[in-house]
Amino acid sequence: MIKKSLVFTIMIVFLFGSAAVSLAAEAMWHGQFRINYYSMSQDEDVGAGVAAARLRWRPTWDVKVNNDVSMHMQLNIGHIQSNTSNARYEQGGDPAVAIRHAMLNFATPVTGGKFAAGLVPMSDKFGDTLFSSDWDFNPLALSWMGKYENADIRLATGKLTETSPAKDDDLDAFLADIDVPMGNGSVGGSIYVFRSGDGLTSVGDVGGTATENYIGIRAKQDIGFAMVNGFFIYNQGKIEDCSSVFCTGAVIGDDVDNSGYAIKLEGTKPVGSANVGLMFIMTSGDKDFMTTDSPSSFITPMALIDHHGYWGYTGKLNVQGPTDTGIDNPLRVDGSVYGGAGLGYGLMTVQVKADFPVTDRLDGYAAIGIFQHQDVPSANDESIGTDIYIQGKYNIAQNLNLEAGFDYASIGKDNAAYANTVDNNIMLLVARLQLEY
Amino acid sequence: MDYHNIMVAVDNSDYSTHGIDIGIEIAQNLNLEAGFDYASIGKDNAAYANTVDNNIMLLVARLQLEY
Repeated sequence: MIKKSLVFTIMIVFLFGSAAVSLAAEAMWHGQFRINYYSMSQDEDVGAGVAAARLRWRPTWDVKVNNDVSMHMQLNIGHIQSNTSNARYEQGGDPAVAIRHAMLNFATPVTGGKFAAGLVPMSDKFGDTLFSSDWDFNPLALSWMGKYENADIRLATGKLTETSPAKDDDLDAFLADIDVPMGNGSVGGSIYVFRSGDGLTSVGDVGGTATENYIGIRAKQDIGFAMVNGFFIYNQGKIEDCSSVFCTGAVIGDDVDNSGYAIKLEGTKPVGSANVGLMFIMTSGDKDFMTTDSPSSFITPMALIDHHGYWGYTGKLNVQGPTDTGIDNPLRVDGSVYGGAGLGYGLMTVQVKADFPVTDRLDGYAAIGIFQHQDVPSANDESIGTDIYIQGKYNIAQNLNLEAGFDYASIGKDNAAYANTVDNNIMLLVARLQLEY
Repeated sequence: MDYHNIMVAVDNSDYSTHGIDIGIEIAQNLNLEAGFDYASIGKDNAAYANTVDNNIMLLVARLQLEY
């Protein structure tokens, strides 16, 4: 009897095991594991210094189900705040474990290309200046990426928020990109549309129907002595029945338009064993942003959802990996910071960087940037500040690195973004131990 | 393409429903189902208690992988 039960059990395990293996043919477990540390001092009239250390882990699971279908999932654990409790929370007080990506990738014989559906990580094609998957732009989306002739195409629609099912109030995105090879590089163009039927955004209810549209062109080219790239983006938007979240004064309750542009020029070049880069970005601004019905302001989608992106070189007024932690409050290309202060006043920045090997295991990185608004109200100063960042990256073992950096940011008083009423000198020490596996 | 399940009309004094549901097998184990339903629900029925005749039109879609 025991023998028969054993044989039966073995057969069942074999049958079900075989079925499972045949469906989930290939699985890969990978991800990032890191511990951040930071210490920041600043003028005491602006705020207290801060220091903290936190854990973040992003376990990632990829499964190839068959030749046409695969799955991708990534969890986001941390930054963990409650270190000695099994019921762990992140620094904002939310549960520490969240789902960051969850998507199906599949091909259809009719369309060619690849579809992605689910919580899909997506970035703009303008260097993370508009929206960034690295900054959790992972909407519920359906995207298609494929080729037509020699053109790379992406078409996507994403639902950023699902609010009341009984109202037209979701924040939706519609994306179209095309890039074609040209010379020793490529040229491309994009059209992006962001719309909320009831003006609901992550910075608040900005009014009635809110739409921000973007059309842009870009190019990158190897011109021999340097790699150069750049873009031009035109932005036009409208907020109906503008609320006090965005509007002030007499235009509250009015329909408010905005239109503006963004320009980027960047060159990178090897110099000896180093690689240096020079970047210029400007966006249009208007001191009358949301106090008049048609300001000449460029607004990013990431300002509407209170995200940022890795679009610059420096560590405090921009953000790098090790500074992307509890003290991050960088500038967006539209001149705004978390919460929207500075939005609509535009930005002009020039930045220089160099990354260079020091030893076989140690790499260095240094960057400096100046930042200023384009047009601000009379109570503010156009200048924002200067940011200097240096960083070393030491390879401890395969895939395991220790990064450490120092940043000095001089932020002038009465700027519109940070609103400090005295000059603020910030010194920042950061470190990050990270395994990528 | 796998076409299945046309819901036939059901009619009595209070309810009638008419619907169509189409399933497309996109790839092995991956299906896209899309459906349309029209329901006419008479007033003063005991279940839904709507006090006026209610005509409901419903569009649904589901992308599902079973693995």
